[in-house]
Amino acid sequence: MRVALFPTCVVELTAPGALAAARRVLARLGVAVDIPAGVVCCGQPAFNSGHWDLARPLARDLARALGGYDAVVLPSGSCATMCRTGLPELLPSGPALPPVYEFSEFLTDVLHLERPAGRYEARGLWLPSCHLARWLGRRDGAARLLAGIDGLVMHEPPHPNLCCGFGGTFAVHFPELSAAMADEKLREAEEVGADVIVGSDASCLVHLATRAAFREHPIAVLHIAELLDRAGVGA
Amino acid sequence: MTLAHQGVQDVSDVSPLEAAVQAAVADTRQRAAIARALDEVLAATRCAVDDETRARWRAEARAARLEAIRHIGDLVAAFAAHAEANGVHVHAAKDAAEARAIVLGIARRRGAHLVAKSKSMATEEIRLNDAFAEAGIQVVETDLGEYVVQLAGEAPAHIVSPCIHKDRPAIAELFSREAGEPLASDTATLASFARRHLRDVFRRADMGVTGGNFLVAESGTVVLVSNEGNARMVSTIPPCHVAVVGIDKVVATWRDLGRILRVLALHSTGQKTTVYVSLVNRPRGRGDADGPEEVHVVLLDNGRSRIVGTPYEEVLLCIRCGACLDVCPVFRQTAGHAYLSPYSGPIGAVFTPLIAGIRQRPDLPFLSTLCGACYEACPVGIRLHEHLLRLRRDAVQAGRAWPGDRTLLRLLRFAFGGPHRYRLAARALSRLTARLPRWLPPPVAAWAQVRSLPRAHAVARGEGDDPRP
Repeated sequence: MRVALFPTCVVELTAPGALAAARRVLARLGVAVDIPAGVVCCGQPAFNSGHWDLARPLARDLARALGGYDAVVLPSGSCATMCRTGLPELLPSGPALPPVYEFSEFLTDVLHLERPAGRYEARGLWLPSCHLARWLGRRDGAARLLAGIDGLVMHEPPHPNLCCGFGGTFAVHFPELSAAMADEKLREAEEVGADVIVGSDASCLVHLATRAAFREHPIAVLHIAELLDRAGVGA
Repeated sequence: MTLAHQGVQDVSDVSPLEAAVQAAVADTRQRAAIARALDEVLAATRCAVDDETRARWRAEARAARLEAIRHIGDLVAAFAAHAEANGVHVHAAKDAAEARAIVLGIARRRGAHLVAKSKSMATEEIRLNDAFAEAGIQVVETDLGEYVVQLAGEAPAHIVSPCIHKDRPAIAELFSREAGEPLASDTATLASFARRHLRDVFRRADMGVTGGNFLVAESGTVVLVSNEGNARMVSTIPPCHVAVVGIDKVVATWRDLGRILRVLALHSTGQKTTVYVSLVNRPRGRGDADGPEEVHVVLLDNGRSRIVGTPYEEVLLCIRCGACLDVCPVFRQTAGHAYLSPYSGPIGAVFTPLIAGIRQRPDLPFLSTLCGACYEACPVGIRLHEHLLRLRRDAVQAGRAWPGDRTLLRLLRFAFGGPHRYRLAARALSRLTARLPRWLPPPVAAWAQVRSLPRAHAVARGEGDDPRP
């Protein structure tokens, strides 16, 4: 099986540690991945802001670059949603993408990984990916992946309905509102006594980390790929 | 993650929507009141029935609403024919101005001086209270929450709970001013003050105005749902009752109505049924002990029939339960006023531009993170998140994109157009974010107003990583 790793622009440019971690975990689980040269961005920022004409060329470039692979794995729930629901709408006459999986989905659905063993000491607050959970209807995969990690206590969010407030261009259209939503998420972390917020979307995590830094709030953030890597999953 | 700090840069030129959102977010007392109220509602609605029952009820309610909207034209005609046969005067209003003129016409003909009103979103939509005020007719809102916002000179802040943004001390302050004496802020004192005052209004009113939760086509019945009983007072005590109802509220049969009322109560307040369900069929008949001499129904279109047959038709399934507002992370911070529309929250951000035209309100679909909590909560399964996304596209196509977006996204489209430009752009960004310039482009400045700036990294794909196809 030829598997392409789509870094996604946000992860590659702002959280390269998550990308490297995803790669190491996949390698340990016996999956060699390529990052095809032409793979850059799925066009989600333009698509979600209504500028479909500006999203289309980026989506087309991506679809062409991923042609010929049997599967695509990417470390982002929102980009996975864009690839699965947005691209077919933007490019009705193709080129079509191979099956696309968000990183934790690939582990549970393709590699059939259940409760992998590992060790990582932390109290975490799980940050569900709104896109993965509600647009794609996938919500329990990450919990299954983290349940077998020794030393890790993961808490579900006290308010399961609350988004972190990133929302792409929303974060700069309504900065005060976006920050108030982030603050609510930081309060949730305090409420459950978490020292780290764990999620599958680097964009949301960067938003929370930069808000926390701005406020000098001590919370840390971690991409699920980084957590599984540090826990030694697959080793 | 490496972070760089940057001083705050002024971002001016805010739109009315941005200003309203900023004001709402700055009001920490209001935000605390909303969060408290929403947590109570969410707790009540979540544990009211088991998941399986909830799923079945929702599927049945959606089917009933789909059936109604699929045949909306025929069903509205059937409702009108049955209501008229029952002795009800039925009026069709194609827009807000027509609806106001019809209601004012009735009020003038009857020489009304005092109007008692029960909670109604349709009358908010057509700004009926303003029209009454201009005509010199006094209107008193009799729903407790509506009464509070009327005393405060405000509009309702939530479709179901108009004063959700006010805490009890704030309400006590308003009531004390009205009473001319200081009142305690406990619920019993406040409710009994309102009750005494409003009973008098019911008795003296020349006309009662209500909305209508549903219209039953097979019998010509207007259905009014409330928990306080005020809708029943307003529709039975004054000598004339006028109901202003959107045509989308029609349902085919009583059987369908039952299926819908069940999820309305469950999703708005976590009740099995609302305390009152009033069924208005006809004016007072010979031998009846009470009831109005005249009953009028104003069937409000105001852009609704324009939605029928479009990809947005599903939005007309809405039963105004408020569940999407209750779960919305944006609404939780702002409450309803920030939307600058009587309809707020996710449904307001979709319904308002649909009935007003996207050119009138191209900004509202952007007041969302597209998180989809609304869709998950909706008892009739409206894909609100997808409609928000498509309305953004419509706004752009109508030439009303969010200001500044296009410049930024064109830049992105250029910089990310191919691996070569992408690598150059990433390298440039990593240099820029390592040592920030004093001036930041507007979107970056907006980010940095409330957050640190993330450090960008150059593309570092390994040697074997670029297999050319």
